[in-house]
Amino acid sequence: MTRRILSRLLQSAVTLLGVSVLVFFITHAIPADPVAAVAGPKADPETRERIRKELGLSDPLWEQYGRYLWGVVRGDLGKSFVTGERVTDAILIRFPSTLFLSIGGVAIWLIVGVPLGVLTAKYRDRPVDRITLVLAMIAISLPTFWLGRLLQFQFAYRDGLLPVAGFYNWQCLILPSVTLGVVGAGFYARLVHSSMVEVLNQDYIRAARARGLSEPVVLFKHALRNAVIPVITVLGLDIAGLLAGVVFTESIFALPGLGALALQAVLSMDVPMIMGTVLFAAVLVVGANILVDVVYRLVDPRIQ
Amino acid sequence: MPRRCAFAWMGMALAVCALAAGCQPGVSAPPPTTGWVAGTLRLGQRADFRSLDPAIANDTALVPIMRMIFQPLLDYDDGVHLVPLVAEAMPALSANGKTYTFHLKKGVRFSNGREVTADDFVYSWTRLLNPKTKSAGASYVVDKIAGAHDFADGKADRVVGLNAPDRYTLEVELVQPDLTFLYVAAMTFLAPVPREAVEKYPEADRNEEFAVHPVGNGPFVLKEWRRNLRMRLERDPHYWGKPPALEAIEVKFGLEDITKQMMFERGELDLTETIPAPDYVRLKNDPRWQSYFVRMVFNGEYYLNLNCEMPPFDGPNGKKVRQAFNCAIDKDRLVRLSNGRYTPAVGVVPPNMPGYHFPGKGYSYDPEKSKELLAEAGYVDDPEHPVVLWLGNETGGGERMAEVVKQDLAAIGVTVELNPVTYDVFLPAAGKRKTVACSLSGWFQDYPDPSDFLDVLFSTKAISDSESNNMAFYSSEEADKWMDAGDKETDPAKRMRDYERAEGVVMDDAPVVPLVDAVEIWLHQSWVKGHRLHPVWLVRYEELSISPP
Repeated sequence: MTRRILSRLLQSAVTLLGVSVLVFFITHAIPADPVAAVAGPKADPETRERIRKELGLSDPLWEQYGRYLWGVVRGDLGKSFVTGERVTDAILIRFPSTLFLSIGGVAIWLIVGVPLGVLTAKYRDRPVDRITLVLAMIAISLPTFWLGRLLQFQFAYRDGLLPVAGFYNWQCLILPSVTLGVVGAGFYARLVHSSMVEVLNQDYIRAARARGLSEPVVLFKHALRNAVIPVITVLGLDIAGLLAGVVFTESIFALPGLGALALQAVLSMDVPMIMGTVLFAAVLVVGANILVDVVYRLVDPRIQ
Repeated sequence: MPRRCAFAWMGMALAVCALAAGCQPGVSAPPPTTGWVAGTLRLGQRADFRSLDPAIANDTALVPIMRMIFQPLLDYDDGVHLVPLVAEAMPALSANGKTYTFHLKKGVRFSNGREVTADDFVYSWTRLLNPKTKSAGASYVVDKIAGAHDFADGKADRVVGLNAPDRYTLEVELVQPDLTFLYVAAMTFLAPVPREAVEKYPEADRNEEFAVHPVGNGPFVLKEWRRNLRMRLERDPHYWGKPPALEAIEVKFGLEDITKQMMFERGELDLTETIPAPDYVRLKNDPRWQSYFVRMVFNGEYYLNLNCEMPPFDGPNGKKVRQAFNCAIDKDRLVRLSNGRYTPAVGVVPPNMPGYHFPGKGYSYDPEKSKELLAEAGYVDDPEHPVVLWLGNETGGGERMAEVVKQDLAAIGVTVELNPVTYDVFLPAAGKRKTVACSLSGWFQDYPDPSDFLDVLFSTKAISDSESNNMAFYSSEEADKWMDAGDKETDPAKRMRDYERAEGVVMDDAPVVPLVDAVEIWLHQSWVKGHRLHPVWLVRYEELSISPP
């Protein structure tokens, strides 16, 4: 197990190096000038040139990349071109907002999605199954930028039940979490449903019932435990994707998270911040993959 | 269609209809009468501010806030005339017109309690010019102050044109007589900062630390700044002038225009200036909201740039093609389609310039005359090779303007293809020689002087191989002559006449189509008192107060 994890960590380091090379050179291939964001549109060419030199952007690309990589190795992701903030600090300050939002969203996925999946599998082809799966499909089809704005309009602007935007108390996280959660809940309901349907037809389930075990024990102890393995795979990747990809939800609800930070960095061509946020997201995805590997083995000892 | 699939689609359609029905905007709610916070002005912004260092801060929305933390030598009165602020009086000008002497008020203090002296201005302006500061503000002074170039290029260790002969006297020697320097001296870029508050940080982090721990001489101090979330300013107990009525200013960040509008209408914000178009129409037509709108034509103009170095606008017949384009655009329609958020532009200089009068009549909308001019120029339209109109996505309402331009030009037989790109792509492309034939751009004043439009956008010196502000690449010896004369003239009235002549030449040569002038539209809550727009600062928070409606 330890050897396996070490080997995965080594592979991950290579992956991250690849990501950094790709992002660095793609960022520099875009026909936009990072100096424009620093100097503003009205600075004269000489001032822009002086700023370019100060930022080290006049140096050859390989030299800039080498300098960046050496910084990363020492744990320094550099400073934002635009705000001067240390990239590491900027990411760490914004991480809690994204983390709380993700926890809220994932909680809804699982609390709503898993029981619905089990329920629909149990009552397969009955009205409750069909209605729930149609609703789940609708939920999956909803674009988050539309759903978020709709929830915000109705429950915050019109009814005044919840804050319109911001990150000042736990109520601020309800609408964004629901926005994220609805889509995922629909998806996980369908995923658990299909996995459960398959498991419920197995002989050992029939045997469990024949032994007189109660239905909840059959469903949740024997069936769900086996049905959940594909769910863990997808969940691990989805959580990592969530942390890096909550741009729309954070923008709509003005949450100061990583998605908003990355978006702003891209819009202002803030190269160190783009690199930092992408690398951080890559670390999360790679980390989630390793974690899924470990959890697999804990859930199902048959997997070697 | 299988039964299950049809069932799903029906369910989905029903759900969408139900949700949409619940979200019809309907009638506006009346202006809120509760929700205000005594003494605190609450504002919203889309993006966080970059920095609170006056040398760095160049966000347009930040300038009214920066004025509350930092105060320069000069300010504006209720209009566009300069008045002393930290200076005791308007500066004396030497006989050769090149040296300004400012006498500073005594008792002006930074928020750390120390008195502001002339040395603070020398330090702050030198710091602005230091390339390590990476200040965009350096552009405004590097060509004006004697020795600034040498210092910025590392050829001198001080700026010879900046001197403080005593504690309260600042002498500024210019490269040449230049009345616009006084406007520059009123910009927040040139506000003083205390050396000890900057240099207490390690050199590597000095500017970044001062940016978030600013120490200024304005009526407010920074109390809290949580990046991308909120900022709070509170009254400075050391402030030397009349204390403002407000006790605090709070700014929330990350608010998209729609979100900001919702918060405003719920009474969670006190002012807004980014009213989305549908909400603007809804509220403008609601009599209960009308008295809370404040409008002002602002010195900002949108232009259709016609590149004089590229076909079909170059060569001996180019002028007629450019004039034809000027007669072809229906500016009133542009204004109607914007619901009155612009006003038609007549000349290339916007209307609110002190002592300035637009020469001539401009071009009126006359498609028939356009066709005649095109025929005289021998212009032949080729739909396979249309005129490509570039626009940056940050040009306010640019897509709609471009569509109108395209339709109007189609009416005179010119095929136009739109090329919308991001602003980061637009700026270097449109500013590069012989790259973009036709582009849509806007220019907003730095200070209310015609030179800020004429010199910057239409002089030969504003052309470079890349990064030109002169996006029409227009060069005229006669226009340059009048602009140079205006730049050097020290008699304000004569200066204006020189610029009027320059604008007359530019208008006749028609390197651009002046489309519309910007109109600022703000909306405030019933409990906000004293809100009026200022032609330079837009909003002066020191004038505002909060009291029950």
